[in-house]
Amino acid sequence: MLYIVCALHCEAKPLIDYYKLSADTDSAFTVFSNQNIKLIIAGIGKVSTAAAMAYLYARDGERKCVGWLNVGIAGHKNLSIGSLLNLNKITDAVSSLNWYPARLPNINCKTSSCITVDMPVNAYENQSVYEMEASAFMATALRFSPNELIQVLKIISDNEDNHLENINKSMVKELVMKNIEGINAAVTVMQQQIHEFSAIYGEDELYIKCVEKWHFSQYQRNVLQRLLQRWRALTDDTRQLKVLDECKDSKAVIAFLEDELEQCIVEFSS
Amino acid sequence: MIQTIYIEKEIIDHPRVEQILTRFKHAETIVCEHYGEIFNRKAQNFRFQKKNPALILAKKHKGYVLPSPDAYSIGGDKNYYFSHMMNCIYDCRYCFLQGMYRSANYVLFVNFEDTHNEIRRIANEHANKSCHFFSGYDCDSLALEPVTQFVENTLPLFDELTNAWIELRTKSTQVRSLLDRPVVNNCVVAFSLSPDNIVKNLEDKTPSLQKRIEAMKKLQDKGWALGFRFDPLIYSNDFKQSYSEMFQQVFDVISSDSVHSVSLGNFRMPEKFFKNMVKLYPDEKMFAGPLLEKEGMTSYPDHLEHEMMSFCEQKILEFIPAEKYFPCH
Repeated sequence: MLYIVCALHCEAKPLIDYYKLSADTDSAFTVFSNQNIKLIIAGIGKVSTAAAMAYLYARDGERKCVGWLNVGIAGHKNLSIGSLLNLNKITDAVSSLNWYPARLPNINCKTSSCITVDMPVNAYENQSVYEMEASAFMATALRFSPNELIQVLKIISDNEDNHLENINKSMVKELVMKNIEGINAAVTVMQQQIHEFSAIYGEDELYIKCVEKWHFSQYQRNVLQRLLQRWRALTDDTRQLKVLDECKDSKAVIAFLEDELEQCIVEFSS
Repeated sequence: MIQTIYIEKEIIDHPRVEQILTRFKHAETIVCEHYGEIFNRKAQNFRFQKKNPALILAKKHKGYVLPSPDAYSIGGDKNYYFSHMMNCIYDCRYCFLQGMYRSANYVLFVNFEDTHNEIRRIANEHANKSCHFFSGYDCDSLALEPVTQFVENTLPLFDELTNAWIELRTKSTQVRSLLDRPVVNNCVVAFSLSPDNIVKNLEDKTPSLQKRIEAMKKLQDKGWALGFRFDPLIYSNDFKQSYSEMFQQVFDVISSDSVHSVSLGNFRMPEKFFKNMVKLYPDEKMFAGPLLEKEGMTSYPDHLEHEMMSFCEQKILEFIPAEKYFPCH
């Protein structure tokens, strides 16, 4: 699952249309979703961003292996309006803390550093992007996902020649729409990464089946999980585990797996 | 190929940084305050980072040279280790680095001279004793030599220190810089070796056993002292056959006269590191094998350790004299 976080509805609208996302009704934040993407409209600023992300993560069942993408507008001293940027360093202007999103492979998108400010600015002091959410986005996303599954894309909406007072909703929609292919390239790569993560670290169906069928204590659950991992690594054949159905309780399941693993041979092919 | 380079603000004008950047003209460079901002941050996945690691150029401020663990010696009176880098271009599944570090990015400390000064100070302090300095604990000593030029910068120091030895621990075949210079008599080029099936299955991105032997042969022909590090021994049901074949393959080419030392060690991993490694690689066959937790360490059961060590020891001593053999217990 990929979670997309936008501050404003006008930033989100082209994405909602492109990915054919449906609105979830009756929620504290407006959430749009399809099978693989959930998009939340967080509101402007760091507090709103953190609150919306925590809300979305908890509401969606604290899933393993989720990706996070922040898409929004930003200012820059002299980059042209409409430039799409993948952020590689984010500095919070108040705390001076830094975050470094991992490089997004195989996409042709310019990168930039960014300064997250608490109030809109018209004075762009260096070659960084200026915006109001990214530091909170990073700090919050890192509580739920690894750095490799977190990205920030910003579209330049204002610069020294075109101040932010000139920004309006239709202009923002237009800027996002013009960059939809670039955004989709990032989304595609992120979805591949999420898929790879899920294949390794996602839910184990056999484990879930076992804990649903028999009662395991927390300690036993940890033992069971590791035994099943070892079984897969050594035999790669779960058909034999059908015999588990004959076990009468959790102790019998664990004893069976331990006995079977004792017999397994460790071989490294030449 | 390195695509991203982080540089600590403090060393941005360091000549070694400028030199490295010229090698990676297309890499994206990002200035950071301290390497720990990237390297030590929580919520990173070592396994995924390993696919495309970044290079972090940093300055070391302390801990240039440290005493070696008691169990590790190849005959020196005083034993120390040091690292100019953290992490390795290879991806060996049994390596403790993946359990110890949060990040798979490479950190290169560019202030080599501070390490050199500390080595010089220690060697002079123990002028009447032999001091051994081991390079290659936290990285491979030679694998990134074309980029770092650490060995090229460091060996001249050992020409002047008569009571000091340096061990360059490696799996690399990047030996050109050694072949192109005069032999340093108090340097041991120590190759970590494993049977071919272990190399193929557990030592991703490393040169094959055959390529390593070829590199050793070149060094032997030039007169460099060689070390063999059969460490860790990895269990499989046919370990006797695979280790026997490897020893034969190695000593068919390398004369015992060129051998400075041979060491042998079992797989032993701090429990905490091992748990991190299993979390990263739950699907790894080696970790699913007969390993036990004993006194905070994960290792093979005693009977297997003993069986592997005594078998390999017996085989090795068919090829080299006992005084060159150093088991790690």
